Parts: sequence; C-alpha cells; structure tokens
Amino acid sequence: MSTDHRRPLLSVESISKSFAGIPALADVNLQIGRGELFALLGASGSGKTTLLRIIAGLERPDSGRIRIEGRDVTGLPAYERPVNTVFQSYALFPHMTVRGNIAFGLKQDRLPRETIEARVREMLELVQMSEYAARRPHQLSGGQRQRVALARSLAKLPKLLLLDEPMAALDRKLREQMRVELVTIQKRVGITFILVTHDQEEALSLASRLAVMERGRIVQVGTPREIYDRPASRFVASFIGQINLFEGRVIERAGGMLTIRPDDGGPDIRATDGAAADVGDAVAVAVRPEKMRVGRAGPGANVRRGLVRHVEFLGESSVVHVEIGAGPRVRVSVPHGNGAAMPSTGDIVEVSWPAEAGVILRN
Amino acid sequence: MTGGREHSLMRAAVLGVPWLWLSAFILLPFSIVVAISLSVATDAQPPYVFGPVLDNYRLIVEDTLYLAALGNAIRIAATSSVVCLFIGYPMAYAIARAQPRWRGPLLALVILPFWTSFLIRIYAWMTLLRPTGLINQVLIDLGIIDAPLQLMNNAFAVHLGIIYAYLPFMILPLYASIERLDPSLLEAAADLGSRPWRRFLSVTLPLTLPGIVAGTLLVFVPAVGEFVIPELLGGPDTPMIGRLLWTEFFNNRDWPVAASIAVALTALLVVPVAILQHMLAPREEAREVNP
Ligand SMILES: Nc1ncnc2c1ncn2[C@@H]1O[C@H](COP(=O)(O)OP(=O)(O)O)[C@@H](O)[C@H]1O
Ligand SMILES: [Mg+2]
Repeated sequence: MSTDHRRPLLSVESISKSFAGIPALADVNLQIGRGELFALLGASGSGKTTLLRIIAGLERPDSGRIRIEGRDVTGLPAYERPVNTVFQSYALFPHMTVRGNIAFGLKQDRLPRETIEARVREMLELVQMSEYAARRPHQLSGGQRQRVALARSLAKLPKLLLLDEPMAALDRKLREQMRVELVTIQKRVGITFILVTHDQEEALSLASRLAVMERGRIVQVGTPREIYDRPASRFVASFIGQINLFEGRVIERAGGMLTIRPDDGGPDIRATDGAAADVGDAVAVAVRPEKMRVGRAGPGANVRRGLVRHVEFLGESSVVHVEIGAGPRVRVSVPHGNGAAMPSTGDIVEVSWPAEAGVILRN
Repeated sequence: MTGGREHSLMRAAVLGVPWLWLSAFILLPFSIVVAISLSVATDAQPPYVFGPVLDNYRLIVEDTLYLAALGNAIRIAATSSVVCLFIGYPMAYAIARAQPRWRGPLLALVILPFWTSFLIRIYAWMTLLRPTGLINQVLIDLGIIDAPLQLMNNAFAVHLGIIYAYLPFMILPLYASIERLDPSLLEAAADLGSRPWRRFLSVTLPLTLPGIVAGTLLVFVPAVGEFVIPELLGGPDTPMIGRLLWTEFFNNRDWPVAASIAVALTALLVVPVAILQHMLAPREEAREVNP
C-alpha cells in the first residue's frame, strides 16, 4: 500500500456506542496523523476507554466507521488490525516470562525464530528490561510491568499504539520519569501513539495534540498550547488548569474589541476575542491566573478591586485568592523572585489583566 | 518472654486441631487397615490374626485376577475422566462466561443431583437402561428397533454411570479456574494477533490447567475404586478392583486380602497425585501474586 501523507493515519467517523441504552460515545469524529503522540483527555466515565477499544477492535460501535490509512477496518476483528494496545491493567500473561510475553505477538505471525529473538532483544533494550527477560510478571514491580507491556505491544511494530491510562498505577515520581521515557521511545520508534488519560498535566506535557472528551463527546481538539490558551468552552476551561470566570453580557462590539457588562455589577470588562459573540449574548470572560497581576497594569487594562482572602505558597510562585465585591473569588498567580511585594491576607488590592488575556466563552 | 510463648502455644493449638483430626480419622484407621493387611485370615471373630506376613500382597500381585481388575478399573476411570473433561469444560466455560446473575442458578443445576441419594440415581438409570426400560420402550414404539438393545450389565453402562455420577466433580473446579481467568488476558492475546482457537490453546488452557488437573483427579481417583456402579450397572466383562475388594470383604470374609487391596490402591493413587500437586504448586502461586 502506498503511503499518502495527506491522508490521516486514523480516522474516526461518526462513532456512536451505547451500553444498555445509555450512550457512552455520541457521534465522535477524529483524525490523527502519522507520528503523532495524541492524547485523549477526559474525566472518568467520559468514554475514553470505549473509544480506544473501538479503535482496537475489542468493541463494536453501534454506528460509524474506523479507517486506518484510508482502509475501512470497522468490521475487522482485533487480531487483524495493525493496532496494539497497552492495557490499563497491563494484562501480562502470568504463565509466561517477560521474553515470552514480548514474543507472543510475533509468534502469532509465524515469523522465523531468529527474527523473533532479535526483535525481542531489541525491545528489551528499548525499555531497559534486558536483565529481567527470564522473570515472570509477578516478580516485577509496577513500573517494570508497564515497560514489559509497552515492549510487548511495540514488538509487532503496529501502525498505531493505544495506551489506556498507562501511568495510572504508578507513583508520582515514577510517573514523571515514565512520561519523559515514553516521549523518547515514541520518537525513537516513530509509531503513532494515542494515549488515554484523565490527568490534564500528563496530557499537556506529553501530547503533540489532544482531544478533550466530555460525556461521550469530543469537545475540543488542538495542541496543548491552543487548548490551554483558547479553551472552547467553560468545561474545557475549567477542566484544564485553573481559570477565573467572569459571567456577563456583551454590550458592545467594535473593532475586534468586546465590552462585557459583568453580572456582579462591577466595571465593564474589555476583551479582544471578537469572533465568538454578538451584542446581547450571555458569555463568560475566562482569564488564567498567571495572566493576571496584583496592582495596576498599563492603559486599557481591566482592573478590579478586592480583598485578599488567602495566599497559597507553591514554591516558584504563590496564588493570591482575592474576593471581588459580590463577584467571584479570583486566583492570581504571582511569581517569586522579581522583587514584587507579596500581598498578605486582609489587604485590599487591585487586580488587573490586559484585554488580550481574556477568552470569551459562550453558553 | 511469656508473650512470645503464649503466642507460640496458640499457634501450636491452632495447627494442632487439623493434625488431631487427620490423625483420628485418617491416620489411625489407615494404620489399622495396614495392620490387617499384614495379618492372616481365620474363621474367628475378628476374622484375622496379626502376622506380620506379606502373603496377602504376594497373592494380589501373583494372582492375575487382581491386576486385571485394577487395569480394567484404571482404563474405565481414565476413559470416563477424559469424557467428563470434554463434556465438563464447555459447560464450565459457558457457566463462567454467562451473565453474573445466571451463574448461581446454572451452578445450582449442576449440583442439584446431589440432593438425591446416589444409590437412587443409579437405580433410576437401571430403570432407563434395562431391556424393558424406558429407552428401549420408546425406541421400539417408534419402530427404530425391533428387539431391545443390551444397554445394561456391560462396559457401556459402567462408563455411562461413572460419567453421569462424577461430571459435577469435573465441572466445579473447572468453573472455579475459568471464572478466575482475567478476560483482559484474552483481549490482550486478541490484540496481539491471536485467533480464537490459538488464544484458547496459549492462554485459556494453560491458565486453567489447575482446574483441569483438580477436576480430572476428583473424577479419576474415586472412579478407580468405584464399586456401586459396576455392581449395579456392570456385567461379568467389567471386573473393577473396587468391586473385587467388596467381594473379598463381604462375600469371602477375607479381611486381610481386602485390606491389602485397599492399601495398594491408596498407595497407587496417592503417590501420583502428590507428584502432580507438587508440580502445579509454583504455578498456583504465580497466579495469585499477579493482579
Ligand atoms: N462494558 C460496559 N458495559 C456497560 N457500560 C459500560 C461498559 N463499558 C463502559 N461503560 C460505560 O460507558 C461510559 C464510558 O466508560 P469508559 O469508556 O470506560 O470511560 P473512561 O475510560 O473515560 O473512564 C461509562 O458510563 C461506563 O459506565
Ligand atoms: Mg478508562
């Protein structure tokens, strides 16, 4: 088959799936290109695993198509798809050694013995498990099992590797180390990865692109930067990172600048996100804590006055919680080390942010 | 330290109970049987005098009657065990993979026959199988056969009886090991390119081997010594060692020979079972540690 680089490696077309009448996936569409490290991010129960299982062929969709390199694989059983999975529980075969586990998939293809041995050796080196080749899964730690699971599913050099919450069972330190390793391995083998996670930090730090899922739907697709800076909905904005929301109504729209009258009765807010809303629309202005500052900003900035309720020390920065009149409590991230005085609890302060920092969210 | 001593006393007491039980109800009776097997039969009460002599063992080895009956019993038990395995495995698999709310009722159906006496169930088979029995009657009425078939007092009936009576002992341990099998292992195998049949051979079968071994032993061991079924359903062509033992004990009143058959049979069955258990032990451990 010739490789066409304009064609996506994987396309998920209008996939729907219900369990006993309760929808788990509703009209999901997604296109993933060759060599991507793509993350599916969503809360528990949002349908991530179901989507992954449908791509792998372990679950049948009620409707819709799955294409890999343009070929419709919707009707193909799992064992005929060029896709391999790292299961959340790892699902290593307890009656086989590490070597036996990694060789399992290759044996199914009836490859010559030398080829299998060479590939297994290569995979053991890739995940740095060569010394453990003769062990059984129950003799390994959680992190080691995960490496074996990864090696086992990479051994067949699939076109697509699916990873279902691969770090969920690891402790925090190991998780951060494995993140770095996973990216390195993915670059080395050049295989497209789809990684499922409910951990936004993991998705943002690992993925080249990600899709945010909410109750069986994909609500936004983009690079981590795009999704962080320009969340498409209240859900995405609050699911990823911290964000301050000012509810209000658009009262003026001029030259790409919106004026919003906040519901809490405070001064009008100016924001540059023009395309999203019209005069009269109910919207929220979303501002990241690190885009706000304590004190007055340059001309044209939005300013609100409030009472410092709490200062949260986080190491390289602190988060100042400010109560603004009848309005929301906002969080302002203040970096340490630039000489600025840190406000204390009980202070009356002004918080400000430039018009470009606000993102308009509808509905 | 008194605390430590109390603790070890407690331990000894806890461990002692099963040992006492085993001693009182297995070791002691078995020792008596061994002693009788080394005695000489007499026409007295009790009908033996302690030797010790090995004459009884010599007799059961030299007289081909006993070895032939043993060989026959092993053959019948082995065939029946294999048939039970082939019938029991799919049944156990279907129950273990049924919806959880169906599993209980289905298992209850497997165990249901135990609520009726074993003897009555074998008598029921006799009324089905005999020349004037239900099966022959129906076949004749339907015009399929003219004369009744010989369904009873032959090897066929003995096999049928053993398979019928011992099938639950095959299904229960198989069910336990299949139910314990993590379905995600089969999904992983499929994901790695394994077709259903190879998946069964490379994952399901090896991981349910403990159940297969347990079920086979639970059928094979008692079937070798079975005497009710060959007595009621068998014929002259189906001598089985258990039946012979019965005859020696009750008909011939030769307790020493009967006891030596019992001892020899026990040794013959316990040794291979112990070896098998030993071989399977590390596998069991591996299954339990792995999540
Ligand atoms: N086999 C199943 N049977 C019934 N409901 C299921 C099954 N698999 C998933 N679901 C339901 O579908 C929804 C999505 O589940 P899942 O895909 O596992 O979510 P996630 O992986 O994002 O946590 C959940 O509400 C879950 O209860
Ligand atoms: Mg999941």
